[in-house]
Amino acid sequence: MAVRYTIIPYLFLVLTSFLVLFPILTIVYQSALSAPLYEPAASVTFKKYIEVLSEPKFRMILFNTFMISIIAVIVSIGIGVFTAILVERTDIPFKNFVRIAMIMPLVMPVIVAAVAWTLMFGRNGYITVLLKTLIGFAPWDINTLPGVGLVIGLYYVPYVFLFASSSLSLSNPELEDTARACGAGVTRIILKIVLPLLKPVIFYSGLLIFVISVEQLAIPLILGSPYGVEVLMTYLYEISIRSGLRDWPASAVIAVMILCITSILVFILNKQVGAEKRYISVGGKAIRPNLVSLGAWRIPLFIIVFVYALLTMILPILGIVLRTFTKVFSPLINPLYVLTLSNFDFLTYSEYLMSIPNTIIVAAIGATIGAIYAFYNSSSANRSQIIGRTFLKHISLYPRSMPGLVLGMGFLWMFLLIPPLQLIRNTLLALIIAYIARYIPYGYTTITPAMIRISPELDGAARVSGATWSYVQRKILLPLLKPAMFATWTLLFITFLREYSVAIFLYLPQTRVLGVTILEFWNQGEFGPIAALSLIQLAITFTAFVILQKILKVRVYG
Amino acid sequence: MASERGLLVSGLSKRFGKVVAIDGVNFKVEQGKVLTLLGPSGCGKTTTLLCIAGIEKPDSGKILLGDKVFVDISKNIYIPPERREIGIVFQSYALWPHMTVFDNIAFPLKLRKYEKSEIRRRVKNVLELMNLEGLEDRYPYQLSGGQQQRVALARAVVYEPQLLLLDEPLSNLDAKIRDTARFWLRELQQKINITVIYVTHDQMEAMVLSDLIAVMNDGRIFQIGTPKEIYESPANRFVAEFIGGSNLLPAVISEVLEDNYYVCMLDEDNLLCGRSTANLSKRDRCLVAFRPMNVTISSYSETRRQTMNTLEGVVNKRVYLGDAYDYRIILNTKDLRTVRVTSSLDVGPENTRVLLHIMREHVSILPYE
Repeated sequence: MAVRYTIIPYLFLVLTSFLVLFPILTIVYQSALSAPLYEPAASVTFKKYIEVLSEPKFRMILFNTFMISIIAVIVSIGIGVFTAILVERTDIPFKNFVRIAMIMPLVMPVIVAAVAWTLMFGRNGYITVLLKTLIGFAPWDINTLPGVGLVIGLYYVPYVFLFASSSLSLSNPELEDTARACGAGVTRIILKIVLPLLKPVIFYSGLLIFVISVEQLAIPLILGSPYGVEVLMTYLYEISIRSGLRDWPASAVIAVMILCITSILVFILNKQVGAEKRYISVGGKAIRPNLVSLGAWRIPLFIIVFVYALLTMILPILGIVLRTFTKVFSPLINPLYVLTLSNFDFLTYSEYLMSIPNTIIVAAIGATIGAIYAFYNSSSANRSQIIGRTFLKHISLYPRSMPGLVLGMGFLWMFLLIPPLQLIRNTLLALIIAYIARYIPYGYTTITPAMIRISPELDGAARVSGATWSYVQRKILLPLLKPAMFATWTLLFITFLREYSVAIFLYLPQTRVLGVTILEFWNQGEFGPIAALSLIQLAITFTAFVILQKILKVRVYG
Repeated sequence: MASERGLLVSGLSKRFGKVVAIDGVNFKVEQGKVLTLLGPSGCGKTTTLLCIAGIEKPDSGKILLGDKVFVDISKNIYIPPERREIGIVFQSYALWPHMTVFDNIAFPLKLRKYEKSEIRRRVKNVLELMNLEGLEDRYPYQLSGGQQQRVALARAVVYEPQLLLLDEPLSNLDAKIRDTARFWLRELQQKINITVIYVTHDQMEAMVLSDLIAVMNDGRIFQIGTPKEIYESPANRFVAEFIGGSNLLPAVISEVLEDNYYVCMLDEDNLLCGRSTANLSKRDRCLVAFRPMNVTISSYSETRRQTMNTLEGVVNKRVYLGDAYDYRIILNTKDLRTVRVTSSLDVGPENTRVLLHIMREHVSILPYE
């Protein structure tokens, strides 16, 4: 007779717990040691905590982190909610263009966005210099604390836009019609009816933006760090990677601090909304008449949105393209005189060249394993009777609060702590495992709502007619979840293509991915290759995005 | 003895968190018989069924089919559903939407590693049995509700299990089809001579289909018996009210007669004679139960008033139902109780004085709860 009880759910309970908890516990353990954890001389002490926390610089960094995150929240909520109302509730022209313009920044990997913004709007950026020569000054400076907050906020506008517009499209317009019938004007309707109804969404997305701003590395690193604006994540990067100090206990203490902040916020976040609704999908909407006629404001408001798109998407991408193909990138020199392909020269080094296929391989294999993992993880948590399945549900959502950099660090130390795993570390598998662990919540929350909608009677009928638990998963649930599986795969694939922070601690020369190569050149201050790499990454991501959207007809944002 | 191949459920309990779903359920069904678990929603009937199927694991108790132990918590035995060799049909039919009718029915056969030709033969036979010929290649969504229900049945019996579990299989059908489906289902069951546990909240269904009915509420079985026993001699208040909506009047036993007959006193002037399955004695408090349709209503007359088992009252409400009148009668008792009466006779409008006569065979006397 076959295996009496299936072990798969237990396997995934153990595996997920291990992938999530082990790196964290390793970090916590390291933070309480006097020396790197592989040294036998390391003893337990809390000295490092006192040392790090009492540093005036640390308090400053904590302040910066909070301020930047708050600015990012205000910016993204303000623009995101405003444009969502414009699209969902007014007669603004070219709605589809506006919608795409609001969502597009998601296609741009964050590290590419950071590079592009620097190239165009940084202190020595193209537009900044152009304005300085034209009108004598630049009205902005993004290499400051508010500037970093602003850019992070702008980058995450699409999230708020998606949340708010989906909530608006689902909410009943009759509520507003009634207010209008009572004699309320446009402004009053928006202030008294529309916005209060959006309150939960605003609160939720505000909290989410705050968390991901705290976890943000690339933007503060590229925009802020060189000009003295440090946040927790850049500080961690600085002392663990760039300084070469290898003060592991200090790194661990900072990582623990970051985890404390993000864990509390994510805990509130999970309380706020049912976990399954985390990544809302944008469904089809019923056609109905526009509520508010903008009248004379139609065109000016559209122009504002257009300028927004110009500033956040079109100009930065243009900047990357121009920088890639020029020797010198300045408004003072006609780019046509300095055209070059030499910025691609670094590709003659196979180590750098390999970062292109590496990125694609990690994303493709990672997404495949990740999607299957997500399926079994979710069915173990939702379709089995095992003890600990509630725990599995919670633990599957927890990595939400783990910044990639921190998780990568945990994995590195885990590999060092368990010698047999060293072999994995030399291959792309190390990255794949860490990526999958970091994005367990993505997979879980994409597949679970679909799984819950399938009646458990379908499993029950199959079990009673003689199928084992795992056979039921394979032959009944998996085929029925095909669309959700494709969606999960696509989401993970696009996410993995853009991911870099998890790899920072883990990569070796032969396992570079595009993002970390960009960071390496950044540390060397070579902008030509950075732009070229950014362009390559942008091209790959964009192509994948378009193809998958066309073929699978699934939405890949969120 | 036939029951050796029957189903035995004993001391079955299951709780979900703090909620007690079933609490000490016991019953026995002989091979080839139909037992219906009848009760309102949330009474624990489906949980009991799922425990028999093995989809739920009880907290205590044991279940045996013949000499095969399905579950025995005290001995730490639990056989997973796939090894119990039983069939199940859910309320939703649970047809796998990505498989054709043929694949749905062949699924359990493929699991049992039958030859391809044997699978085809068996599927063909069962489709014939279910009047589903020619639908092999359809997908579930292309079938009517009645066809889906029969495909689900076909899938449940195609591997000839000894026990068939049916969870409200008719409740999603149109009222008209449901009437014929009841009789068809009963015929089918007798044709293939299979033991059936049937779950429903519909007492008509239970009456037509069952050899035994177990009336459940709050996770317990309140009465178990043949449809006739359940209907004619409800053992307690819940069964009396749930089955057929009896009138219930509080009373006191005033005389114990032979053959389980008793005389009850509603008040000094009103006595009723009836039957009880419980052992009662004089001056015990009790409940008198009788059904609206078992009352003979007539206009008031002094002589008839004197006959046994006759109560006096006034029409409070009269509703015309087409084939009968539905009356609310206020009894001429001290506490002015209201009873329901259905009769094809029109005794007059509101405020008419009437007499109600109930034969003593139709009066059930229940212990007071």
